[in-house]
Amino acid sequence: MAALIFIEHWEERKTVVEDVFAAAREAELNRQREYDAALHIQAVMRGVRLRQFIKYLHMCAIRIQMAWRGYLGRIEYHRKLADKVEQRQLDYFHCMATKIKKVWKGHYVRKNVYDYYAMKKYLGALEEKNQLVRERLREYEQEMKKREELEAEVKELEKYDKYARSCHYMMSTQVKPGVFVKDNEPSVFEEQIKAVFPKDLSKKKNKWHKTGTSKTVDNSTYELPPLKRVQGPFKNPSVVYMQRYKSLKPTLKVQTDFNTEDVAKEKEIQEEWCKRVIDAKFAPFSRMKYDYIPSLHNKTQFSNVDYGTKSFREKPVELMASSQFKTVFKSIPEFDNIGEAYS
Amino acid sequence: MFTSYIHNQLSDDNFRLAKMTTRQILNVFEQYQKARTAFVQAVADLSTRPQNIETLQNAGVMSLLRPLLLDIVPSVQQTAALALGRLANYSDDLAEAVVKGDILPQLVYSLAEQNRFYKKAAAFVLRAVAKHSPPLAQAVVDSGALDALAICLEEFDPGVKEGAAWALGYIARHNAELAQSVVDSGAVPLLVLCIQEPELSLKRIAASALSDISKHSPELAQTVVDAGAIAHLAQLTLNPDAKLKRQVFSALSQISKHSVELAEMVVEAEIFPNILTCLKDSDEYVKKNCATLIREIAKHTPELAQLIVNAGGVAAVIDYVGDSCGNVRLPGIMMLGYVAAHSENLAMAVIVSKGVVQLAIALQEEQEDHIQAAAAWALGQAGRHTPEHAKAVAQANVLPTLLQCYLRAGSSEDLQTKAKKALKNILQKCVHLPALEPLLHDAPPNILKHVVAQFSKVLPHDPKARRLFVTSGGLKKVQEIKAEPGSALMEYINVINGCYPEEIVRYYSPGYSERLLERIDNHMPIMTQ
Repeated sequence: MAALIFIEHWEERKTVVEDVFAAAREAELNRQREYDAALHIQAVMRGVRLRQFIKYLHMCAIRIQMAWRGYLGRIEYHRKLADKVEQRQLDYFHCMATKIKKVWKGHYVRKNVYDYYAMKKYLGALEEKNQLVRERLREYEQEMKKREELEAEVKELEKYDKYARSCHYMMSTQVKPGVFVKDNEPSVFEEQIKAVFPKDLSKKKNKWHKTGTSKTVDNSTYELPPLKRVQGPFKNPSVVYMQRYKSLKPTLKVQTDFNTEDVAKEKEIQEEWCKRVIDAKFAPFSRMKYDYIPSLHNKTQFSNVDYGTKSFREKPVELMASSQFKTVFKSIPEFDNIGEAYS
Repeated sequence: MFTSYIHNQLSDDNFRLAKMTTRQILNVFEQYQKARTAFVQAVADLSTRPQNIETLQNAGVMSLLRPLLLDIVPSVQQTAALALGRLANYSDDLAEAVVKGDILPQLVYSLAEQNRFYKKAAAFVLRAVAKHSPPLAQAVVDSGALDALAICLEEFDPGVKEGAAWALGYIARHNAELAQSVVDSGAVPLLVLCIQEPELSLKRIAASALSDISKHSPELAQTVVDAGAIAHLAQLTLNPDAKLKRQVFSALSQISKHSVELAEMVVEAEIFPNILTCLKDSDEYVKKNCATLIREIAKHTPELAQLIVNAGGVAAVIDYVGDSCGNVRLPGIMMLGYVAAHSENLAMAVIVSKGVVQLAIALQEEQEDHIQAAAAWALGQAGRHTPEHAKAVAQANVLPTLLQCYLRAGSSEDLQTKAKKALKNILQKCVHLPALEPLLHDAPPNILKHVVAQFSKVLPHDPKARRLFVTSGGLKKVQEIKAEPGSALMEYINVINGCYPEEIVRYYSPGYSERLLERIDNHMPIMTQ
């Protein structure tokens, strides 16, 4: 088989060479063109690829930038949001603070500086008070004026009376009409003279009634002046009067009951019982039982120093025995009780 | 027997003769005593009349009376002392003659020794000497009279006490040192005891003496207060006797004038509102002294003033200012001024109680400058706080009166300064333009400045007022004011001018018509052919 094929080709060998050459020629002819074309193609291809790559890089950069910017933007956004929220909160707080301040300032000013309504109220009350005070003062003034007028009137009347009294000698008598009578008609002044008690009489009474002061002698003891000469050295009339009209002054014995003493004693006992603080009967000290309470001085373990109280000299030997005498007979019982009876 | 008879007869004659001579001798003495008594009494009577005194002095009465002070007869002594007292009471010179005659030690000596009548007379002489001048009072003090007088205050007889208290008061009246020496003599507690005595005249004089002592200094007033005087004085304010009330109010006001503490002590004696009735008393001096007391209390602090206002004191004082006139009015006016000066509330209280109207009436009615000055000052105090106060004061038509007081040629310097200050105080707060208008026309430049300033403050903010200002001729007046360029007045005028269109300002400025006429002269007529 192979031989066959070889034969075949062998036969054709010339053409083949020719073909080969022809092809080489053709190739030589087209080689530059093809080279250029390949170059071109390569260039384009590379350009495309590079562009693609660059595009890819751009896209990557955009991605990165996008992410970064997004990140920054978000930060910015959050910051702004926080600012905004803070601002809004601040505004709100300011608003509230203003309200609080407003209320506080109002309160403070009203309390300490100036309160219009309180002032208005105060001034209204003051006006009322003023009105009241003015009215009272007016009343007081009128009252005082009235009193003064009354006093002046009384004074005037007294003066008139005095004058009338001084004119008593110009009164009309049964025989002759007085100075003040006009056309036989009784005048007012004459009546006044009649009405006024002649004052001199009271003075005369004093003359007669030498020691009679106005206090002891009142109108009830008023006595007419004596017609005759007084006889004898009488007691002073005021003394007599005092004796005559002195009030009943019974003695203490007469004033009180026969058993007053007993009643008073009973009453005293009752009172004493009421006022008593301790009901326990008082017992004499000798009968009282109480625990011995040592004083602070006695309790202490530090006793007095002997120095100064004790003598260090030799004492003379006691010649006599301590118990020289012995009781031979019994004691008298009454004497034992002596201290107890009086304590 | 006969001889014995004769002998007897003779001895009897001798005896009678001897008896005759004793009687005659005694008669001489009696005559001398009678003559002395008559002389002293005649001198005492003569010295009651002022016209006799010069003759008496020239006749050498002093040297004659002096030995009679040492007379053995008590009545002669007393009458001599009385005559001396009357003479010394009359004039400064005679009192000095008493001092120079060395009579005072004698009197002081006898003040401790003698009976009550003589004590009274001696106290009278001391009083008469001490009343004239501080040196004379000092001479009385130097003679050792204070201790003797203080002892006299312990006397049982009210007349002696009265005389001693009177003399002590006259000594203390002059100055602080003398009053201090009176206090040092321990008289104050005794005087306070004297106030509590039933006799009215003694009470009066003791209160007057306390007043004289306490008027000098806070320390002296404090000693009077420490003696417990205030409670007793406060009780006496309700006494119906007018003369006693005068002295009591005088004493209380002298005590309370010194310090806040003393004034508070007086207030704590619960004198309000009882003493307000005394402002309606029929006696002028009671009223005046009562108003003085209220003034002295009100002037210290706003709290005390407020207390008086709350007790209705302001209304009472205002009524009192309306009722009285002359010098009696003065303390009331000053009290209103003090109250109004403390705070705006108190000033408002005065205004609401119609005090401003009364003050304005007082300012117009009174003739004397010092009362007018007080009223002007009080009005200034009432109007200086806020525009409202100023308006209330201005509406009482006070400003023209104040201006008149300021401009009047005869008014004193004090009145002028007070009126000017009051005007300034009120004007600086006043925004009530109708009241300010009249001042534009007749105020001098130094007042005008304040008026224009008020206009310049109000006009920019009040269209109605701007209009009124033009129609009432105020703008015209403002244009006529000649102000120095650069001064405050000029600035105010510029502010006012700025409130109006230029034409109006130019129309109202002086010389506008001439300028118009000038323009006619300069105008070239347009010829039309």
